[in-house]
Amino acid sequence: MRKAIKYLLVSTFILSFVEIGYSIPQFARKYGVTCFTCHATVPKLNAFGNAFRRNGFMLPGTSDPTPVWQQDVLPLSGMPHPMYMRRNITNNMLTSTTNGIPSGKTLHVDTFNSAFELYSGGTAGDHLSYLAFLTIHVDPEIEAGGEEGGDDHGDSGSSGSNVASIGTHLGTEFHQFFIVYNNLFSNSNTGKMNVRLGFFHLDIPFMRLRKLTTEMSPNLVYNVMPVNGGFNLDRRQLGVSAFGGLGSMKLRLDYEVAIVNGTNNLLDTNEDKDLFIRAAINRNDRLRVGMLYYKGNQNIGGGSNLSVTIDSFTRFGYDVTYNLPRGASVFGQWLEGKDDDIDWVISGDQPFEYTGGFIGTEFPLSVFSPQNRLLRKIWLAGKYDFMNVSKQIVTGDMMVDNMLATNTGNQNEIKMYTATLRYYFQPNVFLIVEKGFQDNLIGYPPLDDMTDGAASGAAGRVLDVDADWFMLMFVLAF
Amino acid sequence: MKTQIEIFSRRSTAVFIRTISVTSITFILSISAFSQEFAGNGMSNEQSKENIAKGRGVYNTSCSYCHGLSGKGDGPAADFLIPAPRDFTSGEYKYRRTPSGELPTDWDLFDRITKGVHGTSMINWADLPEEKRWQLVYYIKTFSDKFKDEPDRSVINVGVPPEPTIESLSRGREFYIDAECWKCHGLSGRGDGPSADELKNNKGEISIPRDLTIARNYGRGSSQRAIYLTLLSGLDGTPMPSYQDAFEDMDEELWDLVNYIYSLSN
Repeated sequence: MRKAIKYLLVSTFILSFVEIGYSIPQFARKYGVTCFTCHATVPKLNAFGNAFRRNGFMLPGTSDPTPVWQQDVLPLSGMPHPMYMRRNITNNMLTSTTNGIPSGKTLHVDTFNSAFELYSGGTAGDHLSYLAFLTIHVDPEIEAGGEEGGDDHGDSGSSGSNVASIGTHLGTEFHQFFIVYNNLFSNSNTGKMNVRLGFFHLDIPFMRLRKLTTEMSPNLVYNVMPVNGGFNLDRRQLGVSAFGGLGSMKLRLDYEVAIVNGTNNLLDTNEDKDLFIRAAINRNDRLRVGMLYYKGNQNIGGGSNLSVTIDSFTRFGYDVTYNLPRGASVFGQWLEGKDDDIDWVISGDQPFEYTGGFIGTEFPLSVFSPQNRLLRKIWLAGKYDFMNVSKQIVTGDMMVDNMLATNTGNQNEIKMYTATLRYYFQPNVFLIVEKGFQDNLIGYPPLDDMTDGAASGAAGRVLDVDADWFMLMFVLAF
Repeated sequence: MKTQIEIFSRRSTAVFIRTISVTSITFILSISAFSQEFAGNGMSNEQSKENIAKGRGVYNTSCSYCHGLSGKGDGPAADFLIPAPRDFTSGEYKYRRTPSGELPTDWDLFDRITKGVHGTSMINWADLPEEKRWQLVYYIKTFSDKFKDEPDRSVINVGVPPEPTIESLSRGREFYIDAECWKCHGLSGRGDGPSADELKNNKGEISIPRDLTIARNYGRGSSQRAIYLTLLSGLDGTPMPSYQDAFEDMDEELWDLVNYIYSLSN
């Protein structure tokens, strides 16, 4: 029973963070066009879609003074997306994990889940627009899990102490809600400078909601957190930002400067505000080269005293994207992170550094036969994430090789491989099949996106725990 | 299968007389009707170097994502658009009031920018100020040398649609079969004819016949006059031919066909 409850809680927590990329059919209805006007494929925006977004959800070069409540189209879109996922988590450490998988064992978890997302966006006058994004979770409906496998490290083997649970957890959450004042200093209606206020995603180069791999394959380097930390780079932030694009399609500088609370939640945990700067040069919307910088502070003390343990951290990185003809793209991100204290449990500062990134590609199968209608419906995405934490410092000593006593050997690197297939019955009706494997985790258990440092005293350190998953998801956007 | 000649020879005298009787009324009403639907209220500004330059700015801001900076229809967002964005350098336009093979009028271009093309990714740009839409027209014309000498263009005269009677629909159905519309658009008009999967445009790209049962899918609009115009002008650059020659001096029969097609979505 305790295991059932544990699995229930773990899955509920994991799936409450599973977001999928989105498109907003409401806009297609408003303008009477197809999804492909703004999307290469859902949810991947094309150049026009990006221009539409930069201009506050208005056609580039135009303004729409009619407020959303006076428009003919109901300003609402929905997206149910039931899914099934099987995860296998193998503990290769010398000891049991803090959350109970014995050494050498593999935990299987099968999960059925359903979520329904609601979007609303539009204009509220000449310069004002808004976006709201609400998720209603119903999860998990059915879940089963078990452990099996021999013990490589001395314990006797065990074959499956299976658990099953049937239950429903209903919850709602505002993922985004912000208003934008568009075209601050000009009436060009090209989004040269906009200011937004509210709960929004920063303009991260490979934003989680617009990639074709799913949230089970997060961009790892964006998601490193210290113990009790509350910060993920590509999650929503509460704050204010100035963003836009300067120049023309031929050569444009996209930018964002934001002041945010840095917690991914409504409530801040410290008195300081975080700074985010993003700049990217776009050439013909084919080639994009950019950088990002984030400087923040977060309370990792976990107590009520906000000044107890402050981790000052930075993230700095470069990225490149090249959009090939016929819808294909290749991309890469390199990023380094520095935290001056990742662990409040251990006395004294526990500095932590990592480097890493990811490379990937997204393309339709029709690149091989452009006029083949079937192949246009199939998109493939692949991503390889890598991280190196060899500069980890524990208890004041540089650990060139991460020789934690619990690991079987040097575990300095984390790697993750993801392959995703999407089949589009219609642009707004599609099936996602994903297979992934991750070699080593940061922290344990793999809550959220397998890198949630808040989950364990070993957070911020590489653990010899591997995971793989297989996922099926059906999506309908309307 | 009956030939067109056989069918046409069965026209009754009554039909002929009725044709004559409504012709004069049609002629008068068509002028006002035409002006309401297709004609504009004149150009808001002139085709000048200054306006062309301004049009370029508007184009680069709003149009180049799909049509490309050079107007070749190869913008970065063009890859997955079906139909593909217009290649302005070809000087070939689908939606015109002019006969097949002729250039569109300035008003045709302005009208298309304003109304968009239904069922495609070509948005209606009515939110763009009228002055800017005219500037766009002038700039778009510079992509093709065919516009250089501003050749004369004749405009197809669209009359007033006759009542879609049962008889008219019945005759229209026969024309639909005989003119082989069904080969592409299907017997039920759903765009599922035997040739539908093989159609390509002049550039060798996929060309999908319209599902005629869905009014919002009609690129030019689904009114009877719009259908009439499409049948006479054809959609240059696509497999949709002009039926101007086939229906020469057979205006009433053409309206029968129009009525039948119109009925598919109404």
